[in-house]
Amino acid sequence: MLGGRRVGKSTILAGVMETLGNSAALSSHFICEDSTDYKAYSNFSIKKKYRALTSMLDTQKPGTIFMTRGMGDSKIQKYNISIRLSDKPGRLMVDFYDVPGEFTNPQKVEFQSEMLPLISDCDVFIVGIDTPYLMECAESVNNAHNRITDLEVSLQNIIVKGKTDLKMVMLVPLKCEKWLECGDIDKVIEKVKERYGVLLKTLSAYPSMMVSILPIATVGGIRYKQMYPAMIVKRDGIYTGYSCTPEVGSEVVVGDGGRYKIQSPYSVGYDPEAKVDGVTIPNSWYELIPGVGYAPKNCEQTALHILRFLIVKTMLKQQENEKASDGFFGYIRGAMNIFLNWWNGIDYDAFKNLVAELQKEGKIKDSGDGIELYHICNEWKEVEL
Amino acid sequence: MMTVYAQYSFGGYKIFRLAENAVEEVTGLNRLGLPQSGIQLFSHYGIKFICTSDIDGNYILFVNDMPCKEKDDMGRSKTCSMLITSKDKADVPLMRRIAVMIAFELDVFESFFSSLFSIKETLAFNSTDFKAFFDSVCIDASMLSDRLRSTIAIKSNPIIIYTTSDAKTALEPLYNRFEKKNLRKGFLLKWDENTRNIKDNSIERIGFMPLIKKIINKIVTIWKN
Ligand SMILES: Nc1nc2c(ncn2[C@@H]2O[C@H](COP(=O)(O)OP(=O)(O)O)[C@@H](O)[C@H]2O)c(=O)[nH]1
Ligand SMILES: [Mg+2]
Repeated sequence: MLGGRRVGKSTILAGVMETLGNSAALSSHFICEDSTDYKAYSNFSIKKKYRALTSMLDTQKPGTIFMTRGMGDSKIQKYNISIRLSDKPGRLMVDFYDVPGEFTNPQKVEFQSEMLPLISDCDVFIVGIDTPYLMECAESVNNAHNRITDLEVSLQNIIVKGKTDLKMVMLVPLKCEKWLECGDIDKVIEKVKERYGVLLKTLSAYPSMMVSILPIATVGGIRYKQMYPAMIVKRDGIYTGYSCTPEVGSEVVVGDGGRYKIQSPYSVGYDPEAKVDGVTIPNSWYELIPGVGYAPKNCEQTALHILRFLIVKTMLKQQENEKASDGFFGYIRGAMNIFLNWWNGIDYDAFKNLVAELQKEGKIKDSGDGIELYHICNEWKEVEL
Repeated sequence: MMTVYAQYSFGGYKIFRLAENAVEEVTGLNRLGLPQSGIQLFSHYGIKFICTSDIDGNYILFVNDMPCKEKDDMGRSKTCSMLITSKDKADVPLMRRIAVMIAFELDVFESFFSSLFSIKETLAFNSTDFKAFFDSVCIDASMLSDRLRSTIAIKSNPIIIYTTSDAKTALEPLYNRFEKKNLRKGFLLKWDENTRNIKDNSIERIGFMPLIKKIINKIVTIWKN
């Protein structure tokens, strides 16, 4: 999972976990479980983060504005997510690497020594996009906040090890309730194609690469309201951690939605931290959408797209294996066995059939709500689910 | 010579070298001497504390993921991490003493170290108090008065505090930058997130903070005179 800082990457996964189980009301369905060792991660599970976000639906009042930005992670985390079928034994283990947005920057030492090995190891890349910044900010601000130029460079390090080594990049616009709600999501997609144009073109030129755009609403009932310059409350000249709006007649709104009168020893100043690579970044403020509440949209599609990808990649490997099986490429067979370890102890056919069924029923969406398969590689077209 | 680095969030998490008069950011182009093993330690959870040497011959004292005062609405803190490193064997005894001090009273060190940062127009680090902490460990013998502390201080086995459910999960990722055989000989201690300390009843707290305060005051007095 890549993208800028605080754009909502970790929350994507939380949204997936909450919704995948409810998505596939067919003969059987998916059960998603998290077996991550959170002891290793200061106990901040993705579930906790998600609850903190969704709880704002209850704690905030209509008509007020607030911020939804909490503290970020400072280190790489590996989530061990398992997906199983409700009526079958065995679990498909999927490892998600969640990295701090800062690490997407190829100029950082963390990128060079810790990210490069991960990028060459992973099969699927989820790029989070902070939609309000994409839609409402100057190109330079959006570029810095969403780390677009950095992504262009860092994703060049994806290594495709042969024709059947399928890879997939998903661009996922987040916090886009405002545009989904009023039928303007196409404008978001248009803007993605414009601002991520270089990245999209470069990736599409890769062999065996799938590229898609998949906007999701992780909460539903919270929508972007407006940008304000990043201000912070000071006490005796020292910056506190409280973000606020600029003063209007000595009154400010702080991040949690409360209104405060600023008086000594407090004062308000520009947030010296609101800078990415020297570019000043404003804060995005949100409001409740009356009467909507918790209504995530298309979160489960992220997981369904990944599952379908895993099945197609397996099928391609199988085809390659069959072609080679009577020849003298015995070693390919060996490689194949390692690959199929994904499915060890799992009813692969049941998974495959369910995914095929979902595909037929149109439950894996490739269009609508702004979803788009931007680039379909030839290898993908060779197999039929 | 010992060099101190910290990971702190100032417009995003960054690694800084903390010198007496300057806080400088470490970048790919300007590594400022940060060892490879340090980058690895700063980038992952799992190890709370480690004092050992890496395969490149750097002696390392690292404390991970210390909460700062600043909290978000969900009660989550900004965090910082610290690395002290040296290639000079002469520094090892002092580093070892500091390590024992910190390891047995991590919660105290966490609030001490994180409070040294402040944001005015830029990021500032109170190196005077930090240096006083070092000096106090040098000067004050009472800090290693009990048997356990003094024994561990003069040994050379790694001291490791891990946060994962089992030690293996925390240690394995380190094997590319630290010698496996050496790590395995370490004092392995388990971190307890609730008490923000190690899980070990045999260790008595000695409360090193009042001692440090005393020494800081002493230094200030000398300076005034
Ligand atoms: N309004 C709104 N806030 C969100 C959404 N997703 C995440 N956030 C908030 O944005 C902040 C950053 O999210 P997180 O997933 O931790 O971002 P990451 O740094 O990219 O991993 C958190 O405090 C979330 O509560 C969303 O869909 N809408
Ligand atoms: Mg995150």
